[in-house]
Amino acid sequence: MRTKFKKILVRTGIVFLVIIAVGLVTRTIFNYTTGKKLEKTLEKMKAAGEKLAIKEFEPDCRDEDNAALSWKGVEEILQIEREQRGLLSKTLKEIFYNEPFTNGTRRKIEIMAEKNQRALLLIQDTGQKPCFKYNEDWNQIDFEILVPRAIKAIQAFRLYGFDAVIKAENGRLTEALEQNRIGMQFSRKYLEEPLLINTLVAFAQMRAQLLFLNKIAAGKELATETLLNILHELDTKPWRRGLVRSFKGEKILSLETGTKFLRGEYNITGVDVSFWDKIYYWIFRPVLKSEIVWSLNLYSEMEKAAELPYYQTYKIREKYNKRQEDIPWLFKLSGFLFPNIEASMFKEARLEADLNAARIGIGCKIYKNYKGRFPEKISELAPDILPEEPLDPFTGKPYIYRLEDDGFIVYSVGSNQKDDNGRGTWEITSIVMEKDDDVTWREILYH
Amino acid sequence: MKYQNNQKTEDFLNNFARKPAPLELKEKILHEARRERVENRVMTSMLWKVVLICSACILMFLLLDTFILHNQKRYIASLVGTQPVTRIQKQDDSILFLARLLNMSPEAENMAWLKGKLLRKHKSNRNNRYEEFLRLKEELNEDKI
Repeated sequence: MRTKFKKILVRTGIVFLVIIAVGLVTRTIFNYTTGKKLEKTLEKMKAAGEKLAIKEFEPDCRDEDNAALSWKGVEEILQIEREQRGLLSKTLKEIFYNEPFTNGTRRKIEIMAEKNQRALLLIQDTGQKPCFKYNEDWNQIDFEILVPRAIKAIQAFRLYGFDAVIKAENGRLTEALEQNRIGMQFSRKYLEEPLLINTLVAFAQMRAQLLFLNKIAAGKELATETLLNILHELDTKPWRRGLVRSFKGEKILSLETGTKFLRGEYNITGVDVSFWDKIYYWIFRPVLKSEIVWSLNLYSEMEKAAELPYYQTYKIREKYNKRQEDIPWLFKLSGFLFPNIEASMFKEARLEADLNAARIGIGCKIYKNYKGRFPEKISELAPDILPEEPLDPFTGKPYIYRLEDDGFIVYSVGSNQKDDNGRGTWEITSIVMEKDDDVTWREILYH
Repeated sequence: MKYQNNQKTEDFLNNFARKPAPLELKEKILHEARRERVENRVMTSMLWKVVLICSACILMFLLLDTFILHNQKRYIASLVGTQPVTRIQKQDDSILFLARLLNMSPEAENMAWLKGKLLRKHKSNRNNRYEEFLRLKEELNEDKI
């Protein structure tokens, strides 16, 4: 009986030994072939002149020109409590839905602005600087500070925007518009950081600034020079370029993260890695190599798609979604993260829709300064005020423009491509909204 | 008494002629013993061969894998041009930021105040990163996508 047990034990051991040997041989072959594929992909990228390290994204920015240095001061001294954050968020929504800005809310925001006066002054300082370089060490993006600083940026510029609206209401219109312009400039500077999280924050900031701009400028007669300065800030091109750049940045960050894992540097996010984790990473190393190649190719395709107007990307995004659904099961084992690229493209398109609506709105105000009335059609703005008539990024067709008794309304039909009569929604819940998805600029008649 | 009886019995039995043992008995017993030994053997020569081959394979492919990885790592690093950065370097960066910031602004009073704030903050920096992510999601204009 004892011999029989011993025999079973030894033979099971041998079976395991065979399995390990076969597994190891297969893994080594797979490790070699996937490694070669990765090498070839990188060689191809290098030959095409693509950046292969985050360091290569580093902006050429001297300390005295760097807006980020003042910005770090803002991050450190800004004090916005939880309830105050909620108030800013709620009031922003109310402004969007054209609800009145009550005295009580105004007072609370004024107190908040007074308390953060130093921070707001430092923000003003960021506007004077031509470039933005946050990270000191471009060999590595600091994962830990990205999220808190992104939150701070959104909060700071909401407060800064509300402060400008209050100034405009108190008759300090020029100062308010300049403040709003700095807000828009800073939002664009934020695009210089190569990661998608910064780009999304920049989109959110700019969208809020455009809302503040409408609140400050609509229904008010402004000098043509001031309007031209504002128009200059509403160019859509840097935003699309920013999105493409962030896709490139994400691609390289994923490559760097992947290669760090390959080098055995597992604690890149500061989390301790156990012995068994290391064994796990070692076993799935060939899968990781294969996944790096797969993701590099996918990013490259989406980079090209992001360069196109949104309305030309429907089929590409459909294909991308299909590929996302069909990610090989093995790739799920290596735990590689992939951002929501489609949502990012949508957010950029929505911002473009917002920017173009504002460009037309401001363009119409300039037109009125010359002709004494708003134009009958948007096409009248080109080529003297706008180089060409802006197209709706969701449809590729002209914006809907209507003269009304008390002004005009201009809008993009938004993701659902339906005319919702200029009604929009602040909170976006899906890539295609069912209703009330127009992106609008509304102007009130003034004399 | 007991031994005397045994002797008697032996003498009595010696009166009978011995029956010769069957010729094939020895072989039979040897064969049986051999069969039993083979049957009870834990490791056969075939199994030994398997163990040896597998062990050699494991050792050889482990070495080969290390060699492949070493070469590929070196080549990929030369293409990507990355250098490992330690956490300590990252921590030093924040001090560097502070130093830079202090050098930048001419308003000494403001900056001294800022320095105090910064140092206090770095001492008690216990951010829950998951909570921070949730907050960001909440802040990004309330988008749910």
